[in-house]
Amino acid sequence: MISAEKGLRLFSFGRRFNITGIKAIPYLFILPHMALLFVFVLIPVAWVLVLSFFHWDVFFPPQFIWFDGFIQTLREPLFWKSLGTTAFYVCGHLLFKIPIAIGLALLLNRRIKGRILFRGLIYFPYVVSMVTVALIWQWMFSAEYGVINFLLSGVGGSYTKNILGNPKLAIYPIIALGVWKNAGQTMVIFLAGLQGIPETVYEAARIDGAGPWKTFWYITLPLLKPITLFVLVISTLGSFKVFDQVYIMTNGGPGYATMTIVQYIYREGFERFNLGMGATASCYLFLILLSITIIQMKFFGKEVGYQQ
Amino acid sequence: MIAKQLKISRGAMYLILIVISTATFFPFLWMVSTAFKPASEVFQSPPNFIPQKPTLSNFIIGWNILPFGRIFFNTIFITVTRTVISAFLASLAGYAFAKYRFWGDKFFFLLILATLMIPFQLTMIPVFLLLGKIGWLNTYQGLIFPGVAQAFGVFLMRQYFRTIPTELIEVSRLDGAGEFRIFFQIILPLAKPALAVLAIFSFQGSWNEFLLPLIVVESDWLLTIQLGLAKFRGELWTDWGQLMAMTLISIIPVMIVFLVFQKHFIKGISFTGVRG
Repeated sequence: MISAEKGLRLFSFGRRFNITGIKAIPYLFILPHMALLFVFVLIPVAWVLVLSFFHWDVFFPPQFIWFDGFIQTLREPLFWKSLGTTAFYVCGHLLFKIPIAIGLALLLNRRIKGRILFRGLIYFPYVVSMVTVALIWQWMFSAEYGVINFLLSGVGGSYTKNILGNPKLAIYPIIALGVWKNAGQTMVIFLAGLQGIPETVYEAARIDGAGPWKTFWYITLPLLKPITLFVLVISTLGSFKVFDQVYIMTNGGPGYATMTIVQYIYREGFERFNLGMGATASCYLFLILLSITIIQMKFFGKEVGYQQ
Repeated sequence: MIAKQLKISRGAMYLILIVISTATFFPFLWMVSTAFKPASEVFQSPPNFIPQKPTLSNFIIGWNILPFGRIFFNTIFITVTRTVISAFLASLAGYAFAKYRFWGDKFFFLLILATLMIPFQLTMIPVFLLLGKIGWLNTYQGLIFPGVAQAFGVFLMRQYFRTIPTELIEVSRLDGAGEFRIFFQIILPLAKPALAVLAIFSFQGSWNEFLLPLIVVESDWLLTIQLGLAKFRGELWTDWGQLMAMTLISIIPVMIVFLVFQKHFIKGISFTGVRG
C-alpha cells in the first residue's frame, strides 16, 4: 500500500513537472481573459485605425482615402469646438476637484466621531450612476420649477433664467456636476495618502518650529506629490471621456455649446452614420490622451516623494 | 493634522462638515422630496422642500409607463452574469501572473495594463460593427461580454495573489494536487476579500453603465435601468415626479450594496489606487 501510494505520488510529481505540462498551464489560466480582450479591445483598436483611412457612410461601400479623413476632420469647425469645450471641462474639473478633495481629506483625516458617516455622505455621489445624478441635476436646474433658481433668487435679484438653455452658461452646471460627483472618490485617495505620512515627520516639523501653513506647504503637499500625480492622470483621462452627463443634461446643446469630443464621435458614428470620420476623431482623441499622460508623467514624475 | 494645528475647535469642525455633507447630499434629498410630491406640488413655484400631501402615485404610475419590472430583471441579470464571469476570469489570469513564470508573461501583463489607456469611448464604433457582424446587437450577450475583460480586475487579483505564500502552493503540489485543483480548492477560497472588492466595483460599473446599452439596445424588452431612465424623459415635457420616483428606485440597490460594503469600497481604492 505504502509503496503504491509513494509510487503514485512520484508519478504525479513527475507528471506535474513535465516540461510541456507545466508550460501550458499558465497560458490556460490567462487564455479566457486574453481571448475576450483580443476580441473586444484589440480588434476594435485595430479596426478604428483601419476605419479612419476610409470614407464610409454605411450606405455606400467603404472607400480608401489615405489621410484625407484626418485632414478633413481638422477642417471641421465642430471638431475643434468640441475639443475646446472638452478641454474647458477638463480644466474646470481638475482646478476645482483636486483642491476640494485635498481640503476634505485634511478635514476628515482627524479621528473624530461620525467620520465614517461624513466620509460616506461625501463619497456617495460617486457610487451612483452619472445618468441618475445628471437627471436629478437637470431637474434641479429646471428653468421654471427648479430648486436652484429658487435658491439663487433668495440670494439676490430675479435669477429665474434657463441656465442649461443658455449657450454661455450651460457648461458650468455640467462641470459642477462632475466635480460634485467625483470629489468624494478623490478625497478617499488623498486620505489614503495622508495616512501614509508618518507622524514623526510632523513632529520633526513642529520641533523645528514650523507653523500649520508652513507644515502644509512644505511637508504635507510635497509628500502628497506622487498621489497628486496619480490623481491628475486618472482624472484627466476620466474627464476627457465626459459624455453621459452632457447627453442627459443638454445633449450637446443649446446649439453645439456643450458638445464634447466623445459626443462628437458618437454623433458622427451613430447619428450621421459617418463611421470613417467617427473613427478618425477617435484616433485623434487617443493621441491626445496618450500625449497628455506622457507629458504629466514627465513633468511630475521626476520629483520623487517621501520614501520610508 | 492641519486642522489640529490650526486649533479649529471641535464645534467649528463639525459645523463645517455638517454643512458640506448636507450640501453634498442635498440633490438626493431633493429627489426623494420630488418623488413623493403630487404633480401639483412638483410643478409649483416657489417649491416646497417637504411634500405637503405626500403620495405614492408617482411610483405606481411611473412603474407602468415603461416595463420597469422587465428593466430591473435585465439589469440584475446582466450585472450578475457580468460580475461573476469577470471576477472569475480576472482571478484565473491574476493567479497566473502572480505565481507562474512563463514565456511572454511580462508582455501579456503590460498588454492588459495598456488597455487601461483605451476606454470604451474610443472603440465604440468598431465594437458596434463587431457586435453587428456576429449578430449580438440587441442581445444579452452583446451587453455582457464587451465589458468582461477589465484590466483593473487582473491587476487587483495579481496584487492579492502575490501576498499568498508560494510555499502553500508547493506543499499542495507535493501532496499531489493538480494545478487547477490547487487554484479552485486552495487559492480561490483565500481570495474572498479581493473578490469582494472586485465584485463590488464590477457591480457598480455594470449597474451604472450607459454608453454600451445606448448603442446595443434597440427594443424595449432589453432596456437597462440607466437607458430606461434616460428614455423616460419626454421630448417636450417630462413628468419629473414620476422620473424622480423611478430614479429613487434605481438607486436603492446601489445604496444597499454601498451601505453593506462601504469598507470594501474604500479599501479597494487604497488597495489598487495608491499601491500601484
